[in-house]
Amino acid sequence: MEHTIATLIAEGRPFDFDELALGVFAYQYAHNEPYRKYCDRRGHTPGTVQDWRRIPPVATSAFKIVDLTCGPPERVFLTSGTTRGQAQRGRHLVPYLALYRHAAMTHFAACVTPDLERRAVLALTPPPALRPDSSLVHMVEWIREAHGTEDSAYFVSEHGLDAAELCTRLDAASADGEPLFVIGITAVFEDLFVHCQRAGRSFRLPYGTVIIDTGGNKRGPGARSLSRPGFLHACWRLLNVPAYHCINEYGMTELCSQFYDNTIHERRAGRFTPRHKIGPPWTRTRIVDPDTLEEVQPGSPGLLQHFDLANCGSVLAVQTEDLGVAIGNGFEITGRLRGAEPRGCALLLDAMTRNDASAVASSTGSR
Amino acid sequence: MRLPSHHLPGLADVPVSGVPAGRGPNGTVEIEHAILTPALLDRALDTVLAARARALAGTTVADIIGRIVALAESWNNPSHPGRQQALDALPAVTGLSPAMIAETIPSLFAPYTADALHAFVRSEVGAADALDGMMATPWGKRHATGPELVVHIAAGNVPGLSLPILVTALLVKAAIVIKPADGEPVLAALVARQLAALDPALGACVAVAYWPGGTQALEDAMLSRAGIVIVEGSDDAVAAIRARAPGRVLGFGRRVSLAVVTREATHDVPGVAAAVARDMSLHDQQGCLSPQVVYVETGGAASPAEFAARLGDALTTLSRTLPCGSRTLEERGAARAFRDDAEWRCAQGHDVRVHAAGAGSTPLVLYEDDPRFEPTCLQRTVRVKPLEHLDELPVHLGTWAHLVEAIGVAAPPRRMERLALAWGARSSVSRVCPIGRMQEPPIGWHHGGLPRLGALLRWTDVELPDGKT
Repeated sequence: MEHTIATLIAEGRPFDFDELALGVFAYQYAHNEPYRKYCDRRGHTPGTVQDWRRIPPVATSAFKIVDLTCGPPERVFLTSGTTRGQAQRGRHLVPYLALYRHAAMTHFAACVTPDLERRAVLALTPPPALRPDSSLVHMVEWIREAHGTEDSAYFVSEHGLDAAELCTRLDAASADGEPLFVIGITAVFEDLFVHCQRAGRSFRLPYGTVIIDTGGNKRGPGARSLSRPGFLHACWRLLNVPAYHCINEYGMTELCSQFYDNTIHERRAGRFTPRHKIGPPWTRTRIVDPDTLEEVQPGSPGLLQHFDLANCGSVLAVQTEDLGVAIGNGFEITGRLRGAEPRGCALLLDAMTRNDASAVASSTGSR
Repeated sequence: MRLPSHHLPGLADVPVSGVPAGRGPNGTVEIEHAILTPALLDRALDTVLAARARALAGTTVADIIGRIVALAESWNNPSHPGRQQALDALPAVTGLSPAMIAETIPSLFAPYTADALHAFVRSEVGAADALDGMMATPWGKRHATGPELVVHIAAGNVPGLSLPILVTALLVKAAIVIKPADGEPVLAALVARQLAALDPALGACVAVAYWPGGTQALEDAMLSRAGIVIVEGSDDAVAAIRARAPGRVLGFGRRVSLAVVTREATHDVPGVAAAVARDMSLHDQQGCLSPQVVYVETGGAASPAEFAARLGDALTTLSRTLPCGSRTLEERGAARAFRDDAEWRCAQGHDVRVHAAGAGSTPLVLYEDDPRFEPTCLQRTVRVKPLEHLDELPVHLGTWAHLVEAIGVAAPPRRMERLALAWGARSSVSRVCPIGRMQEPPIGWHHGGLPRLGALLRWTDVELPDGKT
């Protein structure tokens, strides 16, 4: 099954999503026992489901209850969280790591890389050695391998952001004119902005530099963070990077595919559409009413359900606790459930920089 | 209809702005908020403090009780105009269903009878003499003084939470300013205006004004003059007020409640289930007295799992006469996530059972054998758990033990007393009461473990020269 999906991702030709999704569902029903039990309980099985929209989605909380995989995992990625008082992290067991990488890098290239030139990747995340179980960190490493030059580097350690070292690199890039990829956790960018403001510093990063931030404004309860316009304004004012080269990524440990802001993609196509998230062709996103689980009216907010063929080794249908609205050919995130634990990579940082076991235990995150 | 969220003595011509609150049973409802400045608020505070000096400082507790009872009796009359306005407006304002409002609002003043109020004062200060003048003690005499101004910052959408605080403030001869909550900004003003119409002198001692939380200049103007601030809300909101108020602050942060069904009570499962369903459903489980977990003692006539199934039936039945109000997308999503989580554990063979009315996510009863306390997503969602040794309940509450407000109990009276002693020693529980009455606390209940009236008082003891009274 993973070869079929890998081939269609590689070839980029049109395909019948419905047919493939039902095929992946049948495969997962056959090979993923906990998922089969759940489908049986719901009465939705490959024998009764005729439409990809009816494939039973798996709540993200289920990843904390049970291991959902169709075969022996090559890697296990963990969410960084606790669930409502029970110390337990979500686990995504990934049997086909090459497919994960292939899916992630293909859509990254479509949405983010304006050309095929390698550039320095400045990573505002911990390096893989520090967080081997983080899917985000893993993905940043893949980006460094695929798109980075040798002078790429990580700038977050167990002591937090090394702002001085990062500023030295940003200064050098401002002088030498070579565009960069600056990729990392939204909250670390905010730490950088605070540092710049305190030190009265700003940079003129070369045109073509792309900023990719992820994790949203979710540093945990009580913390202040920038609005999206505030973030984009800071990127322009402090780093000289225009808003259309600032891409917000939305992803989750439980999914092998990611969603990116459409701004570079649309400019390349010569279109100017409102900023929203777009997924790769092998994904679909439904926005549903929490009670009926039917799709809401277009433009109304609802809960996001993702269907991702690249998840063929675990479960392709995932019910999130994220709220969003459909926009254009994608969606935008509008919030998270009240009462749902805060998720997001920012907490990955909090847990690391607070040198304190209880901070790790109480922090939560989708990655 | 247009309803003001304010009652501001001395500010007859305060500018207002209207905000639509939605549709009620009798048409659309608009709330009129006063547009205040710190200077205007100060003027209102001057007015209520002057009114207090005239109307309250020199009068007796018995006189104040008589005037509160007159207000209560006027509200108890079904043709009372304020009561009718509340019935019309509150469904739109709070999101609670019209049937729910009709169930709770008419009895809002029921606890405030003359007997109950006199008993309340006696139980907290010994005798009303202590507030009016001097009360004898074994060492001499003593006098209790209330603050000049009580401030109440309310939270949530349960209607009428300011009422006991209004009554208590007046009983200690204090003026009061109420800042109602976003979720229910009209009832306090309605009551204050009815009081002013009935008893202008007393009504002038009460101010009510709403503004969006975090409007610091207005809050500081109010806090700087408060003798005592009573604040409800999230732990963060309470801490923020505590940090800024120069005077005393009584904070009421997040609290949870639960119910316990003893072995003896399991012979009447339908009756007990109906009572728990009522305690849960009133105010759509939004109150701090709303049970979120029911512990059922093992070894009785019915098993805890059977009780869970009957509670599911009772909730479904009750939701026909007391329908659930409107819920936000976030609330409905949280209920979906709660149910999904339960269904998953169920499908994987955990000892978990889900009893729900239908495909939707509420009302919902989740039976689970893990005795650890965990709150729910509210909206009439409850966990039922078996427990062998009820004395040991606080152990299973874990860190929640210090956040428990009330425990509703179905038990014979003697056993209830014994259990209450065991639980009170090892948790923050402030109220142990029969199930079915959890939402009707008496005026003398020690909310948060504090004496309602006593917490507002400062005592002056006098030891006379002859050593005797």
